[in-house]
Amino acid sequence: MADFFALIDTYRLGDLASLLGLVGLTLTVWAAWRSKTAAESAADAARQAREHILTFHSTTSLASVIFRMEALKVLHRAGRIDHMPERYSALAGDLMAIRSRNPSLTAREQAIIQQSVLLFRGMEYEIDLAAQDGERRVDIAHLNRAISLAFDELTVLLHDLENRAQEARQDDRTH
Amino acid sequence: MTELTESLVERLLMKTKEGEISWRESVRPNEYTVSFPSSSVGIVDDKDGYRLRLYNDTGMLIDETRIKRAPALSQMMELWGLARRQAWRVDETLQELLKELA
Repeated sequence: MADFFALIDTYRLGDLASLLGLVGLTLTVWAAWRSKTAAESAADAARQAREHILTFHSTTSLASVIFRMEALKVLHRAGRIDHMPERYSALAGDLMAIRSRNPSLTAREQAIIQQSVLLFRGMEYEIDLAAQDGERRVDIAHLNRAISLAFDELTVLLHDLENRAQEARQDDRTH
Repeated sequence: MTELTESLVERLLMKTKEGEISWRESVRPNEYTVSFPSSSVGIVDDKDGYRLRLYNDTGMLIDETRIKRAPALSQMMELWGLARRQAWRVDETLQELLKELA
């Protein structure tokens, strides 16, 4: 046993073992860091893909909402008020879904959606009040003017979302 | 009327004067509204006086407060006038007219 320790002492094998241990530790840390970076990159790519899909889905949903809003004005002018509350409610629901599915929407964009949600709820309420009170008249011109204003704001929002989706697609092609 | 409501009126007036919030004409009579990411505020002036309405993220009316006492009442009167002018783009239209006539 004494010979064994003498051998270690002679050839400084303790230092060599320490050095090898240090190299091993460095390699382990580097491998761990590398695998973490790869995992983070994969997570980032998945998150970006998810955001792209959501943005694309939002643009198609928003385009559908805008199209249906234009149809509302035509139905209002034709005096077809009876089934309007269901339509207003569906539009408000779709807009709320677009807002909740899209964490990338800015505060201003969310506020634009909130204003339209409020508009549809208000219209629903006004039609319900008119149905309750036979003497109360629904001001169609007023409703259509409010729809036109919301229509303009949502159209700008749609345009911004489409641009964002297009930029994201171009980024994907570049990388 | 709570202190919170008074603070809200004061803050809304300040932000409106600074041009940081955009008022819209509501479909409900005599009301102007401003929306935020998940709530809205309505201000009403009718036979019952000035009122402040709060709407939640689904657009449902969740609170309505009548503004009766100073200084919130005078602030509310000023706010309602500014909101009306902003919703109808009165100042922008006047500026455009003046530019046309220059």
